[in-house]
Amino acid sequence: MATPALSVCRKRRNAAVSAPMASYKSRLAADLDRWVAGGLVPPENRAAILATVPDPRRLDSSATLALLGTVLLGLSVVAFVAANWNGIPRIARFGLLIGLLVAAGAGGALAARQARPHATNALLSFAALVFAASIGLTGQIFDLAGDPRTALYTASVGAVLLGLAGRSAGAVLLSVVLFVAGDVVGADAKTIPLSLPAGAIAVWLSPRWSARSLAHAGAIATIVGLAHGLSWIEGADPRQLLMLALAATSGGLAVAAQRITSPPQRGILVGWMVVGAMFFFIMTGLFGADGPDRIVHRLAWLCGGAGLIVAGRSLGHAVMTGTGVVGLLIAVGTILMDLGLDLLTASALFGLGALLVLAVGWWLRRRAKAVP
Amino acid sequence: MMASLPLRIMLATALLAGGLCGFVFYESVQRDRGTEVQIRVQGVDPRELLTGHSVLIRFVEQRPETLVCFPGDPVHDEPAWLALKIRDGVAVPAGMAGTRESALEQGPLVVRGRFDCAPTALGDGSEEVVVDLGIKRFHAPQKEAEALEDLLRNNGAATDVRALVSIGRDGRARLKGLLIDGERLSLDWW
Repeated sequence: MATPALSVCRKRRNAAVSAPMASYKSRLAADLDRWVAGGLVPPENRAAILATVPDPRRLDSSATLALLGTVLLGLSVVAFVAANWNGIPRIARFGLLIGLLVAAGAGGALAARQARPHATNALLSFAALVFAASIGLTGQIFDLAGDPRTALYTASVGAVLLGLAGRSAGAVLLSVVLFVAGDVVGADAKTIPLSLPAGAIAVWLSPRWSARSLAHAGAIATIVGLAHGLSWIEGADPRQLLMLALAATSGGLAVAAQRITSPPQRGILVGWMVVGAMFFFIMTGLFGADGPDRIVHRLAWLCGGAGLIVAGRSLGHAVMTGTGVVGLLIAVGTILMDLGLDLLTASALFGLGALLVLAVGWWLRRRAKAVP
Repeated sequence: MMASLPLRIMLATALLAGGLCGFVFYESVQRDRGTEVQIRVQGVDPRELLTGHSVLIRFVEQRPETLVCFPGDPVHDEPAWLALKIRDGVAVPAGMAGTRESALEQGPLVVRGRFDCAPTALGDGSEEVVVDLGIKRFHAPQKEAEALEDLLRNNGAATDVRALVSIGRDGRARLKGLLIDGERLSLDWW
């Protein structure tokens, strides 16, 4: 016989299992019951309100098994082809790749015709992946010499073409990733970073397609593209100056991103640009800075970290706050290492920083009180 | 008038598929119509082909006395043009330059690539020339690997392995096959 304690445990476990699975409609039903009980909503409106919300789509058992069977069949085909790859004539192998690309594209077109945007996005993303893989495999099939960077850029162009043609955020995302990979592969060459325009396109499309992933990808691509500029500069001092400029640029972009009207994209871009600015600023003086330059850098680092925490709390931006916290922690550790664990000097420096921060905080509080 | 979404998708897909097919056709034409030369290959163990995997190859020659290594060309570390000349039926490096025209002044054949000089394993101060044509490996399917096995059974251990390279009008090298002790192994596409 179940004890009361065991019953409670079971109820809690069932609730924990079912809570994540509860759809919006079921949560709305629970809320409506509370509102009706509290007299906020007339009981006769409960059914009408629930009727305006469509039932969540669920896969029944047969559909689930069909999906599983399809995935297993796909894996089986892939494994069979891979096992016999070298035995298949070259032209047949190439034909398989072309066939797969065309099939994926046709599937995407069919899904678009049936107004199924998620299926369209998935199929076009798959088509972009197949095209990227086909470039490499074509080189392998026909023993063609090629430049890895050119192959990556070509795959990127194909992916962005599919993405723009079919409004597929997945294909555009893949394109940005491939452009970044191409820039990374060519990091030692003085080439124009294509991740910058790719990132800009992704950022521009993100609010229009309601695709947050594009905002993330675009922001990261922008940081990588800015960092690529280091390949153009030689010498420690010029590189330090450039990193300082990149930190300022990232900070400027973070400020500019505040003007973006769409809140999710704004938050994402501001967050990444702040992270980029902190990263570049840290790299400016982490290695090679000596004497007064190092002291200035460390002080600015402490103040910058504190400033980010304040700004992040003020704007309600968790990533900004977190970047400030992490930046401060790394700054403290770096200063301790700089001073060779000279605790007395570290104590003086942190005390000075604390006085400065407290003074600013006191001044801000006084100013806030002075405002009627 | 903007095309409908399905039509745009099919056009983009057709463009990509057509682009791939066109690229293979272009490479095929350049390969077939290019100038065929033989280049000595090092590091090929023909028995590796029997596994059907890719085989790493290096083009290595003993450095001719007339060949200047590290000529001080500012494009030494940049993509360059390699001048070749034929010696005893084998193409050997004759020089390197930044432009095709400059390379043609050093040898009758030019190909996109570069060479580097390195001391030999003998340690006697001699140098060898390692040629980079962009071809670093090739893949032999099962049929061709079996044909090579027949060759080995008939000819014993291979001592002279040469790559058959086609130099297209665009100056790029494309691998056509191998010459193993005079026996031709073609890497056919069709």
